[in-house]
Amino acid sequence: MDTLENRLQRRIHVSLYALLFLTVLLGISVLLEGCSDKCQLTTEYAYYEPVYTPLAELRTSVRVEEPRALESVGKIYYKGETLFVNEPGNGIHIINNADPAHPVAQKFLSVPGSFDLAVKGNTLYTDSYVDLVAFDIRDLNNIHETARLENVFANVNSLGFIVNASGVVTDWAQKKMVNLSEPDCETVLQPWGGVYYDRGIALTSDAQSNFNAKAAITPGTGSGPGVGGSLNRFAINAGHLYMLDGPDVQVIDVTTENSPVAKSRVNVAWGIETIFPYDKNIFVGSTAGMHIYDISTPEAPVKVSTYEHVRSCDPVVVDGQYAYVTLRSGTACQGFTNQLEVIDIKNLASPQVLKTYPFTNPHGLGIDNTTLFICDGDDGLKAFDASDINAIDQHLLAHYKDINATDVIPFEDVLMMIGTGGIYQYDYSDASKITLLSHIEVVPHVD
Amino acid sequence: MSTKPRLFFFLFLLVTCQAVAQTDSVDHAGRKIRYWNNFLLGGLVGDHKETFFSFATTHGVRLGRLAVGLGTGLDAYGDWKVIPMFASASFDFARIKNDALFIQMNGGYGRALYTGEDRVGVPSGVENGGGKMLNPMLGYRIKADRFRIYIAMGYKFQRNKYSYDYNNPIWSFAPAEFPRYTVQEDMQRFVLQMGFGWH
Repeated sequence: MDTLENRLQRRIHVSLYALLFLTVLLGISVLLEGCSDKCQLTTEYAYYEPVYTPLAELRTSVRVEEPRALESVGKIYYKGETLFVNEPGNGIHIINNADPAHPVAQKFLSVPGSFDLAVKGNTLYTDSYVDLVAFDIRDLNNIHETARLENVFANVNSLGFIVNASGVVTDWAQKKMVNLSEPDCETVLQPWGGVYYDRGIALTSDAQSNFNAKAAITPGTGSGPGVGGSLNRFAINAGHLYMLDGPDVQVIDVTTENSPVAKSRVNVAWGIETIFPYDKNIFVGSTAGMHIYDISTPEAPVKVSTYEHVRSCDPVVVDGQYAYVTLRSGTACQGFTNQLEVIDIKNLASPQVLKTYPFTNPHGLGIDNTTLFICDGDDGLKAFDASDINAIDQHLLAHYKDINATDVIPFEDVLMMIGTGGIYQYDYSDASKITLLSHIEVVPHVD
Repeated sequence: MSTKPRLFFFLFLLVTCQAVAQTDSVDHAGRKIRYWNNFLLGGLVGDHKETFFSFATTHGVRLGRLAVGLGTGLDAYGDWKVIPMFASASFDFARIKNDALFIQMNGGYGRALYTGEDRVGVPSGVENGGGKMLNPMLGYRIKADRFRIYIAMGYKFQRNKYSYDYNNPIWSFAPAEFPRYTVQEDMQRFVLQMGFGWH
C-alpha cells in the first residue's frame, strides 16, 4: 500500500542515491582533470626538387627542326630578309620575312637555354645556358653548329638556380610529403605558416623576365650584323659581340664569324638589362641608369659616363644626339615610374635629360628617322612623330590599343613588333597611316 | 534548410512523437517486451576548462533487465557540434523496488560540424568531420508515476576526423601546391546527464 511513509522512504532513498552519484561524479571529474584530448595531425603537401640536366647532355641536344608553332616570344632579331624569334629557353624560330605581309616559318633551331641572339654575316650567335654557340646559317637546310665557347657566361641561372658543375636545372620534380605529428589540440586549427617547401625554392626573377629589347638600328644586310630589339642583351658592333652577363659586359671577338674568341669582361653594374650599339659606343640600360661605354678599342670598352635615374626597368635606343629611355615599374623592375625620357647625349660625358613624358607601362622602343615607336605594355603600341623632342606627346601618329606590346624593330618601313599575342608587322611607310601587315599568333604549349 | 533548424526540427519531432507514444508491449517467452525511451540533458567536462552541453535521446525495447535501442542527440565540443547516432544497450544490475541502477553502453558514429569562426588562410573553410563514438554510462532510474527520471554519468569518447586546405599566399616562382591538413582529434569527456523517459 502506497502510504505516506512508503513514499517518504522512497524519496529518502532517491536522495541518498543522488548524493552517492554526485560523490562518484566528483571523484571521476577529479580523475578526468588530467585527461586531455589527443590529436594526430597529418600534413600532406607537395614540394618541388630541382631536376638537373648535365651540361654535356644539353650540349649534344642542339638540333634543327621543322617549323613549329610559336609557344612564347622572347627576343627578336632581323637580318637580311630573315626574322629570328627567340622562344625563351627553347630555341629560335627562323622566319623568311621577304614579304612581311606573308612571313613563312622555315626552321626551328632547338637550343636549350637560349634567350638572346645576334647575327653577323652568315653566323647566328645565341646563348645556351653558360655557353655561347655559333651556327652557320648560310644554307637554312644545312644549319650547323660551327663553334661553341663553353662556360663563357658566369652568371646564368635557370629556374632560379645558378648553373654549376651539377648541370642546369631544367625542370621540377614534384615530391609528395606526408608528415605525421601529435600536436596540442589547441593548435591544430591555427597553422602559423604555409611555407612547406622542404628544400626551399625561392627563385630570382631573372628566369621569368625574358623580355627586354629595343630596336637597335644597325645595318641589316650584308656581312655586318643585323638589327636587334631594344630589349636585347646581345649587340654586335665593330666586329665584336657584346653580351651582358650578370654585372658584366663580356666581349667576344667575332671578326672571324665562325671562330668567336672570348676577349674581355668589363664590370658595369648589377641590374644591367639591355645593350644598344651606336656608332663607337655601347649604351647599357640598367635598373639604375644608362651607362655609356666607348668602344674605340673594341676589346676594351671604356666607361664614358653614367646617366642615373630612378630605379626601374630601362630599355634604351639612340638616334643621333638623343637617347630615348623608357622607365617602367613592375615586379622585376621595382620602382613606380612609367615614362619616356629623352636624353641629350651630344656630350657623352655629360648626358642631360631634356624631356620626360608619362606613359602607362612602357617596355621596348624603336626609332627610325623621326618615327618613334613605344611599346606601352597592355596599353598597346604607340607611334609618334619625334621631330620635335619637346612635344613628342602632341604628335601621336597611331595607337593600337587592343594588343600587348613588348618590343619592336622598325626597319625599312616595316615595324616588327612582339607582344604576348605573338609577332605583329606593320607598314609605316606612310607614318600617318600605319597598317597591319601580318600577325603570327602565339600558341601556348599544353602538356 | 541549414543544419541547425534541421536538427531542432528533428528533435521536436521526436518529442512530439513521444507525447503521443503508447507504452505498447508484447509477450515474449512469457515476459513483456516494452517500448522505452529517454531524453537526457547534461554537460560534458574534460579537456576544455568550460563545460559544454550534451543532449541525447534513446528509443528502444526492454526485455526484463535488458534494454536495447537507437539514439541520437547533440554534443558540443567547443567549436565543434557533434550529432551522434548510436546503438545502445543497458542492463539493470540492481533493482531497488521500482528504481534501478543500470549500466549502459552507447556506441556509434558522430557527425561533427564546425561552427567556429572563419580561419585566416582557410578560405574554403574547415570541412565537416566526424568519427566513432563510445559512451559507457552508469545510471540510476527512478520511477515517478508514469515517468522514469534518469540520472546518468559516464565517459564519452568522440573521434573527430576533419580536413582543411591551408591556402597561404606564398611569393615564389616555384610551382606551388598548398598543404592539406587532416586532423584526427580524439576527444574524451566526463558526461553527466539527467532527464526523463518512459519505461
